[in-house]
Amino acid sequence: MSGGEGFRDSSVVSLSLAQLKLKEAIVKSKDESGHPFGGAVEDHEIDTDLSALLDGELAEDEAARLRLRMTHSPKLAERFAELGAIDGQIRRLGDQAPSPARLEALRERLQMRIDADAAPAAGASDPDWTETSGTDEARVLPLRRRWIGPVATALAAGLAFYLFYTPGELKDSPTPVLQAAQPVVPDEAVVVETAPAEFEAIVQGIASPQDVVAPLAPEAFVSPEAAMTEVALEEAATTPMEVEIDLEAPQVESQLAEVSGTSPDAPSLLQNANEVELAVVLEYDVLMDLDVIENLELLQRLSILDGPETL
Amino acid sequence: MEEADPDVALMLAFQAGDDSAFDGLYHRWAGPLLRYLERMVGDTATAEELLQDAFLRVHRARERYEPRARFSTFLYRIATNLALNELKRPRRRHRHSEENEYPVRDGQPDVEAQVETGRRRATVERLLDQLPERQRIALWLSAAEGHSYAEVAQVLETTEKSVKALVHRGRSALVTRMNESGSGGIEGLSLVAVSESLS
Repeated sequence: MSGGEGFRDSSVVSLSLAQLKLKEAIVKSKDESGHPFGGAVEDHEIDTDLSALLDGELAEDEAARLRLRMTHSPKLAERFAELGAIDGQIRRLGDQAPSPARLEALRERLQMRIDADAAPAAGASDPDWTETSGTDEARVLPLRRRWIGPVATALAAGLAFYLFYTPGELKDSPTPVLQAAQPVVPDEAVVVETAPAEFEAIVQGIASPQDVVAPLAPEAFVSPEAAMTEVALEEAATTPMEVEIDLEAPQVESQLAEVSGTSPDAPSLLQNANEVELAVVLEYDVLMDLDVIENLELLQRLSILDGPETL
Repeated sequence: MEEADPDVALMLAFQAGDDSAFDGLYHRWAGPLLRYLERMVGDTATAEELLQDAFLRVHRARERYEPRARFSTFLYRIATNLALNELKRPRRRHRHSEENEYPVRDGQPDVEAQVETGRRRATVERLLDQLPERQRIALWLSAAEGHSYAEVAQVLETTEKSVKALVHRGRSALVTRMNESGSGGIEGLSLVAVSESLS
């Protein structure tokens, strides 16, 4: 016998002693607690079996054994009664059926949703909603996608119009500065080529955008196009190769408000506006309703979120 | 499955183009499902919304449906996923519609008994709401809806053994809390009835 075996033998003896002590402790705890079905572990197991018996989920022989045990243990029977009574109370909660009128109203609302669901789904494959647990997030994205496309298109069209479209009324403007500003192009060479000498002098001689704006009389701003001219002049004086429109600039907003009907001169302006101008104004209103104009950054984020890779 | 479960037959009929079969399924299951959802989310309006969501998903699953289990298991699984999802949201929870309250009915003789019954039921509801979600679901489906452990296991995507433990823990906790709540104990507790059922 090696030294290692001797050690193993002694550990076996120690383990057996520990097991005996544990067994004694369990028996003692049963006696002290006076519990009908033993200590905590056995208590839990029998309680689980009692629940299963209530639900008819025990095998026949197990169920018979448990019933027999209950006939000898009033406390076990009492526990079974308690569990069964709770079951009865839960069942009674379930007996309160919703009224038929309420269910019928819900059926009508469901039908409306089914009809609405069927219309856009006619041309597109339907994603598998049934098995997922992340349905709420998935439900939001398609709805957002429905309006994001048209809104983005309208926004782009509006911006393009303001950037590149110059209506005829500017040509007839009596103000020399506006006449000079008519060709709204960022390229300084083109500006010089097409603008009268007054404009050339302004662009070349003035360093800051404020200086450009200052000579313009308030009455010179009679249309959104004029406001855009101002923006273009600022850009021409600072960064001629880049034209960026800040739609939140107060001048632009005031001019757009003027044309869209909040100014006293609005009726005549609208009367004289051509179809494209009216379309832009209307689109602007729609976009304002959707808070898109004020949330261009948000719009961009939404567009990114709605990309096919997120679905 | 189709022969064993008439609801599966209805779903297959709906799949084959019979729209009235969907109506049949709705009328058969909307009531129990609404009660279940109310119990799960604790808010009548949300439960109604989720009920529609669940049936909308059944409607959408028309083409893809395969009868692998009872229809109720399929439906409750959808509804359970929706409810669990809803419960993850930080939202104020309401409790009980008017239909779920226990009014004392005029003209009935034992008003005190009615009040006591209503009070006990309200206590059970409150304690049931305090159980962990999965215990509540397992206990409700087995005790109130009569689903087997196997069906509950499919709804909760777990094993029958786990369901057995969930149901037991739920019941056990309810009994303990009812006794602690001072609500006058458990309504319907009758040792005579138990001993009769054992004999």
